[in-house]
Amino acid sequence: MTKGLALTYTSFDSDISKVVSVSEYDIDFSDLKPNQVAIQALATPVNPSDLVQIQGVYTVPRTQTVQGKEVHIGGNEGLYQVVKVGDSIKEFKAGDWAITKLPNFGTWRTHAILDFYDDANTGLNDVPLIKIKDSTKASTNITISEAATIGVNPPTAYQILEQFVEFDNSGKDWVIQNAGASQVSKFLAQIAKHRKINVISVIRGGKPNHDEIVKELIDLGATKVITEEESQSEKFQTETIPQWLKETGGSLKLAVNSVGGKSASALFKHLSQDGFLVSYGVLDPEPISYSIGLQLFKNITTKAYWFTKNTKTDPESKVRTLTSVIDLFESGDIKNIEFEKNVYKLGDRKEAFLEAYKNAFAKSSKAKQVVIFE
Amino acid sequence: MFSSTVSRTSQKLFTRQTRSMITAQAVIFSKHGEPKDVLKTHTYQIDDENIPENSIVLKTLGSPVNPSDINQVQGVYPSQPEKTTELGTDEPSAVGGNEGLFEIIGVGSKISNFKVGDWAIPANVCFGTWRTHAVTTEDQLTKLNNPSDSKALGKKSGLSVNQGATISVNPLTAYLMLTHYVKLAPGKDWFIQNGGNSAVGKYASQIGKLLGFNSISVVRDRDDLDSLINELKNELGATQVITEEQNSSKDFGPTIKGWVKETGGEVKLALNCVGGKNSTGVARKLSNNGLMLTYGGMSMQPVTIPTSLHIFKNITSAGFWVTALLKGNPELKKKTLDQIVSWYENEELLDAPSVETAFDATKDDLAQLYKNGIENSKKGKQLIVY
Repeated sequence: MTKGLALTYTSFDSDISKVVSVSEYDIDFSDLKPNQVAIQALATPVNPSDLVQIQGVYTVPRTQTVQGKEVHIGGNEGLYQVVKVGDSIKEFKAGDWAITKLPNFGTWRTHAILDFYDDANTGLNDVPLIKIKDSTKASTNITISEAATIGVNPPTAYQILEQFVEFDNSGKDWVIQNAGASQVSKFLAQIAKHRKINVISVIRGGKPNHDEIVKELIDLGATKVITEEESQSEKFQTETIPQWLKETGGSLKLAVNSVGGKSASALFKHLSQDGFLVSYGVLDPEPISYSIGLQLFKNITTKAYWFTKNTKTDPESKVRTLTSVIDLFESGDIKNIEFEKNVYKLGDRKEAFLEAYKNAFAKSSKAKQVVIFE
Repeated sequence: MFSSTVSRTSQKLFTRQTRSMITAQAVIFSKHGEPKDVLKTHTYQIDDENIPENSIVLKTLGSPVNPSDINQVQGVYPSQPEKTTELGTDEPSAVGGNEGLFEIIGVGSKISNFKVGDWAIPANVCFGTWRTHAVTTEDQLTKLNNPSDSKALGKKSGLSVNQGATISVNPLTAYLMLTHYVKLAPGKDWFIQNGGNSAVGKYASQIGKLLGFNSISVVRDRDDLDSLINELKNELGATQVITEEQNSSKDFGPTIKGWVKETGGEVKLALNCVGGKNSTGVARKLSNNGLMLTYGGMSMQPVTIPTSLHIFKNITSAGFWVTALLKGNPELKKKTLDQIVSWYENEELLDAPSVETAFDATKDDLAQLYKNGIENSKKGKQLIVY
């Protein structure tokens, strides 16, 4: 018998620390059914969307029973190591690394036993895990840092570039994105560079380390880095950016928005004929607004992108995307974006477990946080 | 064909022939600007007794003034007619107007698909419909049943000049927006539209009803609101009519949800021709995964959509421009036209009335007539009939 720990909550509050607590549960790996797989946490990111979920302003989390009590388990992203598999399991073996296929698993926990080929109990798909690293394949060189945050941001960036428009892929076409220094944007710039798509990353200006940020983004793959002020200026809308497009002979087919408000409205203006403005996040409560004439005559569509929704609609799309993303990591075409580690030593007291998460919550607005299990 | 384009030989033509040719007039512009400043009447001759083998001579029955025609003259519309000296003008010029109904009055020897007496509309935009006559080729025309064709087919009724002359933009816009993008389940699903009292709005509610779709038409509050609601619901097919105030009110949301729940469907489509807050209101009524199509901007305000509507309800906002959709898609245009014509012939669809002005060649200046039409176009669609 093993003691498992999970970060759980039963009510919602804007002050997250008031509602989260640690649930301890017994978990028995010695007696797995043939269709079961036992997993143990390696790394669980703390994403902003996980936090708003606890605040009650996002999708409602699944209710699950832990040690006889109905709770929600926090988290939607996590990397696990397979510890043991039942007799009829063919897809996985002990030592493999995996992430869960469907969202809403509740990833902030040390251990779990998953039922395969039977989704009645877990609400999960047939094969509820996606393999990230095969323990016996010598060729795989994916690191734990890469794998820890592989489940959401890289596939988000990958799918946004895939789903809406067809790029020329010969160095002509362009994409523009706001929040250019975000994790997703950094992955998007890298993947775009690999696919020979030019990227304009829009960032907030006026930071003391502005030049450093610009350099980092250019090194990662951004073709141009501009400030919000520039993006919202007429000069950039009518001269600068059109001139860049002219130089490559392509068009700006996709604008990627995770900010909203004026920032998004400016992205709309940069788009070429038949372009798409795709939103996947919102910081600014102001709505997006755009000229009807531009929408009609340039045939511009505005849409949402939501990784979770794609996964729910077509779970295999996540598997396919992850396969491509792993390939990109392994070939060195994209690299990991730094995050801050909050370590919990497996077997340590439950207060330490809680503390690791609370530290991550506190620093979440500043940098990507991951709770690492050692 | 045109006396002025063959000016070097025209003298010979005239001396050889003593009969009179057709004196045609067209409203032309050689540069862009305010219509009152740049539109001119150009008079030219058409020789209808020596029609080239592949040509067709047309007489105009009626052509309307559309907002896009005005924008075209102003030079602020992306689709523009080519300016040429084909009509014998000194400067390269274009004829105004995109929509119109014509009767064929002469055909060349190789024309097989059209005969004298047939009715036709331009196959494409930028035809230049503000004119008394035109000479063109088969590929530039789409045939419509004239009243005797309809009678021979046993239809209830033939097309009126207004129906034929205004068929290409508004009824097609309404039909295609309702059918080309989202599949609405008849009897269950809903669409919502602002500008419910506009020409397209009235076609959309009627066509919606013909196709079995429930509709909510948003209209501006007014003194005779009740009679407008009655007209839209009882004669023009709207299932529900609400005011702009109700469209913007959070408290009214549950009423709409109740209607939609009763039919067991969803609000899958929103049609926006207003913009501003009104567009936000109709977008908010959409069910998950709904589509808002914007086809006009009467308020001159931008489309305004909260990002959260995109993200949490997966709403898509796209433009609808009938010209762009039908360009290079003649089959779709034909299919759609056939449907509209058949509804007109069966008296199932009411056309939006126009204010008709008849052209009298003995006293009217044609350009002035269209300038007046442009001036009055805010008061209702203006149609010049011949």
